[in-house]
Amino acid sequence: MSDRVVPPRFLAGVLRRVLPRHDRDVLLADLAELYRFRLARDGKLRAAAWYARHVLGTPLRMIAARRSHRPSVAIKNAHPTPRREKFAMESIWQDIRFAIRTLARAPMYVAVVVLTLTIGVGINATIFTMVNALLFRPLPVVAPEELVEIYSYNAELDAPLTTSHPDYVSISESTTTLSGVAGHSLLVARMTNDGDAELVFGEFVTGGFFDLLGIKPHMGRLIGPDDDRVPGGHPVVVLGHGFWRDRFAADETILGQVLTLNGRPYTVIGIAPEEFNGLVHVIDAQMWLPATMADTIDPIGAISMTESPGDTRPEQRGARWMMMKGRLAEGMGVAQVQAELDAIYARLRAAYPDSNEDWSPRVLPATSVRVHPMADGYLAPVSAVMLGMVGLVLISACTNIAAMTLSRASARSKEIAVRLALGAGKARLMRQLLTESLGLAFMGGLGGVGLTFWLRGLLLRFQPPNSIPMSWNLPVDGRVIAFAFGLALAAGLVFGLAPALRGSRTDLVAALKDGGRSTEGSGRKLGLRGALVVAQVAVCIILLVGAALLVRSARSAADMDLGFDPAALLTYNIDMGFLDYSPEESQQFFDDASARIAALPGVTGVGLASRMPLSMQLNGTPIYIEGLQLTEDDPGSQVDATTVSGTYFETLGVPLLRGRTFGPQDTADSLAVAMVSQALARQYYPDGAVGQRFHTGDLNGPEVEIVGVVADTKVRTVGEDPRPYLYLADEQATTSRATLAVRLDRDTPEVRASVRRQLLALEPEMRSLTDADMLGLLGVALFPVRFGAAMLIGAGVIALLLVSIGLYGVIAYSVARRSKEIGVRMALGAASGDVLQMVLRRGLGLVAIGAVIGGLGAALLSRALTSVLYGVGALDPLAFGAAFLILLLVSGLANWLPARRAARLDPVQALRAD
Amino acid sequence: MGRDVLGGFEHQILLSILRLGDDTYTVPIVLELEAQTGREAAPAAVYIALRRLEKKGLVSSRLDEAAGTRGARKRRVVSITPAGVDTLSESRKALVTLWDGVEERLDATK
Repeated sequence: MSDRVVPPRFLAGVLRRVLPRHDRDVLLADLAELYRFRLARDGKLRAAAWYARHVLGTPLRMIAARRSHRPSVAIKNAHPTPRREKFAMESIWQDIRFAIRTLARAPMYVAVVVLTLTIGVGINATIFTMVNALLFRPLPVVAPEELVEIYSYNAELDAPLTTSHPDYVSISESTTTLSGVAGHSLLVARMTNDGDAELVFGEFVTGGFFDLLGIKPHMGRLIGPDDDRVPGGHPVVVLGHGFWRDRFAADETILGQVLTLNGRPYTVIGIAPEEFNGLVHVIDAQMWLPATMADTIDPIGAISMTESPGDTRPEQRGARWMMMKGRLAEGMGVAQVQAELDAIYARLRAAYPDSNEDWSPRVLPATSVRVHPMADGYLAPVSAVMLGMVGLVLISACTNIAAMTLSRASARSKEIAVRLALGAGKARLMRQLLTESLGLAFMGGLGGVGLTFWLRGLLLRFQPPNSIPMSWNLPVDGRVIAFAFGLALAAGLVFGLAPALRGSRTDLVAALKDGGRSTEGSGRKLGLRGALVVAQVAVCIILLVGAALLVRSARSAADMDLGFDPAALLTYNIDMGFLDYSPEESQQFFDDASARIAALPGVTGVGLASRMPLSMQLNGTPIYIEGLQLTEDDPGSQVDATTVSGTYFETLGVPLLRGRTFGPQDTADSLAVAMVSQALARQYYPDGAVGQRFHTGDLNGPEVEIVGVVADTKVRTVGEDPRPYLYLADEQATTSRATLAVRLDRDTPEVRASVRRQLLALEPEMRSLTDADMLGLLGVALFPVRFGAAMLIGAGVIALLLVSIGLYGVIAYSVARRSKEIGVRMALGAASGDVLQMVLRRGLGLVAIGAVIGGLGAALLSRALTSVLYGVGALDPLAFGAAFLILLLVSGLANWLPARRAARLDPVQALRAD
Repeated sequence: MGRDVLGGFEHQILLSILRLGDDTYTVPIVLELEAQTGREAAPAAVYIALRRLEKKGLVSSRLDEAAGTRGARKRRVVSITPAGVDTLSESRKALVTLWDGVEERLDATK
């Protein structure tokens, strides 16, 4: 047994801090010796448990032992403390024991303060848990500071975007400033297992991905360079640890087993380590597939397609779908990488002008990017708004604590005066009050952390409105716990200690004489408590206005004209390429399927589209309009485009404004035709679009004639202004992928089942068949507003509750203090109506001041919400009006209850009291 | 001694010191108590009881700064005082008297 074996350092440190100095060293040494003895006898775990138990037990025993043979602390505290003892551990113990006893005498006060802090801190720490996971937690990889993000930047789209697989290969083969490069992309696949099907969420990764990040397998092996050579040739999968544990019960024999993803068998080759959950911060990746397989399964995210040779997505240089990361080589910086990549991209532009024109690299340190440079711009302000909002709830909660502490302080003024009169030092008193505040704050922090765990449990169960089961990664880590306790301490100190101190600034004589009643003045002045209520009302109005705005916005977004009717509209994403259909065979399949489904009872229309409005997929196409494009080098005008069937417009309910829709005359051999949205027509063809021609691809590319103009629909987001949208004829562009849109009379499970049967009757092998309805997809688009509205309503209700408690407390308190005065007034002939009015006037006066301040604050702050407000102005009078009305009603009630009590006061009783 | 009756735990500790010999300290006492009674003893409880016994004059203690072979490991070394020995034997006498003739009954009720 070596002396060098020491007990857990952290626990010993705790013990060292709390033990009375006199006994500390001996006790610590004894415990350490016994720990070593137990370590040798019982093993590490039990020895540590034993030690932990005694870290708790020893100080408690020491306190108990002292208490039993010492004079009453209350008396002792009344004496001036000898200077040398002032900050000794012993007197701190005294303070703590005294604080426990004092607080134990006011259990209601303690309960309310701790509960209030718990709610305030818990809500804040929960939001912080999300913000932390999203913004602050480092990537779970080796040396994340050496990583850089590489984006392919498109000048026309003005956005840092994804990279194609061939470009990635070119870069990784020629770079010297990076020691490694890896590509990755999100994916959603349909996993079938004994007839059951489920959607799974994962990432495509290139062969060097895991090596680059320094990730070692938990079991088996990870995807390596040899798994990523032949497009479509490596059906292997690495499972996420959590997915393996939850979905496959941590089955050790899973290696070598086969999972069916989108109808194709994949062999499980390994399990990722528990701590690596993919590169999306908040969501756990369930599996990883080689990037060369990104054809039978669609990647998701920012995807752009430019026509380029190659049969599959990983072979096409124009198919940009991968995010790219690199690790800096020894001694290299971001600037060197940028310079080198500029040269590589220039070579690629020269070698592949068709696909690489307009594209240049953007290199950023990985630590500066959280999700994506474009998304990051929103994340920080959204996080700030959320934290600010719950921060307001905390402030509101704390004002109640302040008000309560203030009443307690004045009620205690007699006790404090006695202690001062007996010679207790002011410093000592302050320390005593500080100890009480800290104790309350600590309990509140503890409760807050508990509440955070509970609320996080609710969040983890929460599923956004899409059918992929998400597993959230929201750890309550040290940062969150520190945040919670920091907040509790700050709140407890500022709102508990300050009023307590103010209360302790006592006029000795007056306090003793008056029985601790009138330190607050006559109670007629506004006073600190009044100011607190004003602050609370202001906070409450801000939250209510925010909630009302978002509710109005969510409602008007739901009612917003999308340009098509989302109700009873089913969509099926189908890719016949999985089943090795040629584009022509696929086209035949879609035609047959459309005809069969259209004939079903309950179906009123069927249309096909390569991209549906509001889907996350972006399809840009350059068009060249004669007269607009001046030179050969002109990049053309990038417009959002989709390929649709002629029945698409009727099925979605998009009205034809001019010209015609696609018809049987538009075949692969006839002149290429297009339809355009009104916004496109207005922007490029002010003199009428129908009959005009443009080129696609480049100035000498295929000529396309516009045959019709349709009304605008929303293209990318619900809130956008009318956006130019180009419709190409689906008969003229064969593809194996399409979305089938089916319009129903009424959306019932029976109709859905019959549509499904028709599709399966045509192709029984079709596995990846998910029906989604447009309203559900819309729900995804509107999710942020609805979520924000729900959060703000919650915060607003809590704030309202806190205001009523605060207001009631203040008015009831002032009525109690003024009962003598009210008694005199009534004895002199004041009617109870006069008293009612007098009390109400005071309370409502406070509310009015708070409402004005809050209204101004809300007007300033609601601007922050403009990006999520659809069809509602930031100063929407209805939202402001509703907020004021609700506040008036609730605060009126909170005010009226004590006022009525005052009005019913029996003057005889009131005058006789005391 | 009169009023100061020896508590059960204090009694056990005094006996342990006697068994261990003079100049012992908390750790051997804890281990002795555990070995003989089969129950875990908290070091803090032993430590506090020793302080109490010292106050009653039944044990004496001194701070031993360098009892260990290396470093300045502090331990409070205790020895039983003559008064402690007296108290123990008094208490034993009382107990033996009380036990007298009770043993058979104890066996009978078993």
